[in-house]
Amino acid sequence: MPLLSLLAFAILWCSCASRARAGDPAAAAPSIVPTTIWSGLVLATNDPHPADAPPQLRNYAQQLKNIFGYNQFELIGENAEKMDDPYERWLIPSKDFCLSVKMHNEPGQNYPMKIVLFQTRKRLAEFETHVSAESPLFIRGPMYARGQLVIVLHIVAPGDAPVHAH
Amino acid sequence: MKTFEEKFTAWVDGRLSGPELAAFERDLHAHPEAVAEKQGALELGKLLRIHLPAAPLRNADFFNHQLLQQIRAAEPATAPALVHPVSFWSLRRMAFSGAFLLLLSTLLYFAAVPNTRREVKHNQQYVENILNARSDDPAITATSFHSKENNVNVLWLDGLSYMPRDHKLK
Repeated sequence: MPLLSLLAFAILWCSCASRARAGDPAAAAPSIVPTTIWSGLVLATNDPHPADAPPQLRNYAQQLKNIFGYNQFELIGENAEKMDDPYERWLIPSKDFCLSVKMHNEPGQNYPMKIVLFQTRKRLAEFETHVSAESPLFIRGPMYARGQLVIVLHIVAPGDAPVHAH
Repeated sequence: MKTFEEKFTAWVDGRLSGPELAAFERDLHAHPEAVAEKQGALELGKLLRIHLPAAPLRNADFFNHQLLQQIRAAEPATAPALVHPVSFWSLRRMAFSGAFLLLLSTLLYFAAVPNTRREVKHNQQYVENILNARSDDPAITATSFHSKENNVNVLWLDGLSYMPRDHKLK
């Protein structure tokens, strides 16, 4: 019987500890800081004399080249949104392509986002991902003329990108 | 050395002969009633053989069944008590097992989870993956991967409609 009592106490203790931890905001979400997502529509082409990438794409040019195999990158449009709304935000890098971004929980980069990609009004794809400051997200879009359209998503510091005002 | 009763029984049955028979007949002079007893025994044996033949059993199985029932009814007093099967999981063993598993899970939590977290932090492959990528259009396929060397997540859409040059991107 003492052993059973000890067992019951241990189970009760674990249950209380896990509940306390779940209810502790610091334990559940160590950094709830509204993030800013930058999105850009990029036209990637191959050119014998490639022009330099625009400043917004200089950090991604080598990665784009390695992944897609093109040597010239042109920024068609861009948009940055501060993700302070936990429910939904729209990223509209161009009028042809836009993305709906929904947080599953409180704003912050520790939670997955549900992203739906639209081309004009057609729903192309939806997926869930962690977009982080460490690694951008490239979406391979349709072929355009002699090139390839790529949508770039990246978490940026609030001061690094112009935030589109709604 | 046979007793008188044994010699008498053998004499009645006609199994005495020779000097033994002569000696016994000399002894019988002291028992004149013996001749009448012998005659009576012989008569009785004859009558029994004639009038008491073994009755044939008409229901042998039922008879055997009755006998077995009587034997079984007499057995419980001497039969060993029924032994109930004992489960391996006695209360004590269950309690010990529960305590052991609790201890094991606690050790694993503190030993394995922090390591996993460190590994994930070191190599972002697990947390950066794209999940549940899909398209409503059956012509479009969505494939996702994480390029470790470029540190980038890629959603690769195939089957999208080509956009001609005369389409002005806005």
